[in-house]
Amino acid sequence: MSGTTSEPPVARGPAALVPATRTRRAVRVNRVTLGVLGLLLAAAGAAALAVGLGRVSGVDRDDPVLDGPVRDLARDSGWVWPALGAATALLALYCLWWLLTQARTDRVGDLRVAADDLGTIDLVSRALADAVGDEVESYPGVTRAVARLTGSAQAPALSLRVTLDGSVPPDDVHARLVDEAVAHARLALGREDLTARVELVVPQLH
Amino acid sequence: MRTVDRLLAVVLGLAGLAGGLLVTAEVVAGLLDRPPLLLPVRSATAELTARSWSDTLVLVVAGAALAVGVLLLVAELTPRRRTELVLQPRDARVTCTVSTGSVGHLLEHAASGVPGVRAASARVRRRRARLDVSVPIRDRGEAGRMNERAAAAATGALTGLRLRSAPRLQVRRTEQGA
Repeated sequence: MSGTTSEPPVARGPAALVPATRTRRAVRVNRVTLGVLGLLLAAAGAAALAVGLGRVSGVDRDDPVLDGPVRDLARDSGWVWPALGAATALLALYCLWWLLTQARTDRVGDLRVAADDLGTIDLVSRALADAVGDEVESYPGVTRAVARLTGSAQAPALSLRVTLDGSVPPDDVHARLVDEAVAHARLALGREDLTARVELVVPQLH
Repeated sequence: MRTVDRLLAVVLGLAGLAGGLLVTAEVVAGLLDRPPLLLPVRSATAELTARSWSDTLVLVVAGAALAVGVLLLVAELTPRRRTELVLQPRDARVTCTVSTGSVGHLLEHAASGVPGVRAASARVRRRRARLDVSVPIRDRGEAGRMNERAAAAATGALTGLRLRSAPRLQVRRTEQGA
């Protein structure tokens, strides 16, 4: 099966990676937002605890949480309430954007494979991904394969998740994937430089 | 963690959206001299005016906020575990990985195939793999040979994967009665 594969290139790189994700942007945004939220919560909690335990000079721990000067400021200053309204409106907008980010994936749409005076030829990336997935699923030792094209239309990347049944050594499947499935995808896209990430999954074997 | 983050994002995003809109609407209503819409503004103001910073409830809420905040911060700052082991490349532009869990399943399968081995369980990390094989109680020499065969099978499976950097395999034997 791997007879046509030449000796693998020796390339330096990491020995381990974090699992691939379909929503890199959402992962990053969630991490930053939750981290900032954690920081704000921790800072507010620590400050309130410090005041409550009498560790802040100039503030009496027996003062009410909402004391006279704060109430007076809110009542007498014309800018406090509009500023609060604007801040909460911005918070609502950010939360809306945060929610919409969860639904976005890095899947690419149509890819232009040819263009001339007569017109253009676009390839629906879903169709190519399905074809690659079907091809890989037909390999011996593979029970399931899910492919998708990620990145951008200018620099797409093939992402494959392949579930094995243990009857064929994973490295043989790897060789065939490179020699056939990835090669066919490159041919279809007309991109010799198409990059791919393949995740092999081996379930519990009995 | 990504799943937990995603769940938190949806819950907190919805809460923040609803809360932000509600408070904005309350502020607008207040600026127009209208009564509060939904939020109990007056009772909340009275409650915060009545309670001091040293009040037990205030301290508990502050402590809980600090604890949750630190927990969130630590969780988000901790680097994600690299659980996908990279195979030696066959093409410079193709990265092929196999998860530590999958490697564990392969090791278990290889060791279980050795005659006499009753069960095998593996725990694989980036640099270390531990395989526990259970064999029936026999004389010391026979149990040792069985252990060696299981170790050889697991080592073969690990080598056959052609990982860029294979974890160090450690095999442990447990002898069980018939």
